[in-house]
Amino acid sequence: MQAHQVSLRLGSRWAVQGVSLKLQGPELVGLLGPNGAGKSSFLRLLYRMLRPHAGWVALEGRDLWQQRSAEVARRLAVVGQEAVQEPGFSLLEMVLMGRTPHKGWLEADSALDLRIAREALARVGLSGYEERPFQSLSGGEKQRALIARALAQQAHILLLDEPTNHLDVRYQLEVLQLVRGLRIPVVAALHDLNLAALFCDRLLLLSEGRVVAEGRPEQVLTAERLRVVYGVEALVEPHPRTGRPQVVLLPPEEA
Amino acid sequence: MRPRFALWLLVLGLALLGSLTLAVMLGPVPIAAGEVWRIAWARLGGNLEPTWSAAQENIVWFLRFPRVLLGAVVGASLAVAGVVMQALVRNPLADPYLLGVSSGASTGAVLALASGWLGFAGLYGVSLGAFLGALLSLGVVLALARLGGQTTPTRLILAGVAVAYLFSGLTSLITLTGERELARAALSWLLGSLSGSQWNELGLPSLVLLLCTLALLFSSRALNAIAVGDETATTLGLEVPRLRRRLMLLASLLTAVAVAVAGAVGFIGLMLPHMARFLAGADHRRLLPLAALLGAIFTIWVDVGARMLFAPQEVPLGVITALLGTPFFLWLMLTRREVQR
Repeated sequence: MQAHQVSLRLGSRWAVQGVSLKLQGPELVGLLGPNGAGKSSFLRLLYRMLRPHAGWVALEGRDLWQQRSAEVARRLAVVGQEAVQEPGFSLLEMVLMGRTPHKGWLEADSALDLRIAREALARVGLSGYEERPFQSLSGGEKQRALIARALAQQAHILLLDEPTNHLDVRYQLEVLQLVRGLRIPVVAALHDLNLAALFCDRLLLLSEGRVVAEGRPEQVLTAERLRVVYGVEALVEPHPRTGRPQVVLLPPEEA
Repeated sequence: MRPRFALWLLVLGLALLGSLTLAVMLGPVPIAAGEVWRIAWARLGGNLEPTWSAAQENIVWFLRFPRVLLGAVVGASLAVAGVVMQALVRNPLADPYLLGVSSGASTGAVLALASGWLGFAGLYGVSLGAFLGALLSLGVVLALARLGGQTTPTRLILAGVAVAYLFSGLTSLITLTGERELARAALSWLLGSLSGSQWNELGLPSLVLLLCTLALLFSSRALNAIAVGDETATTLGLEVPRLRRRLMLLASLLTAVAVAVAGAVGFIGLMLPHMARFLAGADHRRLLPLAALLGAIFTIWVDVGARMLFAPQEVPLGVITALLGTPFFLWLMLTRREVQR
């Protein structure tokens, strides 16, 4: 998958300006940047929710908008930020929806679909909850259920918009470990800089719709950049055990 | 979940058959269950020695059967349309009349009553007027919602409400400036009635019910995904705006035909989908068939109430749906724990 110089205008503002990204093989790419930097908008361009005003996005060599959305959905799974409506589906039904792009008009859910869905639930630690109403789950359980739905889609690429939202620390770690273990290209918009540094192979730092830095975590995360982009003072040092950069934020008055 | 659905399908199927029989038996001239089906069998070409009078045959076959069957078809249509509308705009208060179909139909019907313009259609002039009015308002709403952007639920609801007000204003204007009997005729039409139903009125509504429900069943997965969210549905590979317009059109067609033959009956399309959800859960593959059966059964009994409760005076269906349906729904809401919207 490749995005080439994509730009998106929302109203009078350019939300994304000339951003390029090429996914090569299994890797976890972290999208960083303050609120309004264009992370979600860029992801929406990648998953064919919004059409770029300039530039293009290609999936397997063909422009995204030249393909039918069902074709795209078979190869691209998304966990978005949409507030999900809960009209009374059970958890299993919700996860089985991930099979939608693989199913024909009146095709019933097969034993294989059920197995895929149950496996996906097991991988996010929700086995045994299958018949629970989705609406009775906690925020973190819902988030994990939506990740399970994306897994059940069995796509070749995974796009995640703040997947660790609502999760406690254990599941934040487990979810990122899980997606990295899928051995497919994953792009995730993240807020937690330390999590991003710990799990991502590559980071893309956005500010006001533009890429301000790109590369391995230790290349992207520097105290100077955090000051410019986020307006915060921080200490950034390689962690003695992981070797990854560790960001310690400092309170404004001590700066 | 699966066995429970099959069980409900069986139970409701049998209940529908039972309701049909009972509704034909009941009336000023009571008729035994055996006679009902023997007469039907004989009329359908079966070879039976008549054990009934010609008057009984007339009552059963020409008065009661078409009326009861039309009630079932209208009820099923409205319930199915309600399920679809609620999913498409993700709003539990949505009903089949969301896109202004009933107010357009009312204007058409009242105009036909007042002007006699559709006199060439004879008895069906009012139905034809209602149908044309429904299509007109539907077209206006869909066009308005589409103007300047994507057809989102909010735009659809707003356009529907605005157009509904416009047509209700027109209906009131025509009714109040017309002759005195017009107001009464219009009011009783607006509240819905199946009296005077005939066999030849059944064909089109039945065909539309069958075809639209099948088409909607084919789109069950799409309905499920759209009920969760537009972005979710899109990332699951659905062309949401196009699908929403198409499914809305199917639901509104069902509604328009039902309204044309029975008037703008309230409650059925709003509440029966929720009752079906109590039984079937949210999956539209199960929800649509159960809603159709429930709608049919419910409407048959509502019509029995309309005929019998204040006999010999007939009351409009809308009066009965409101008076009987509301307590029943509240009882369901308070006793079923699943209802936690």
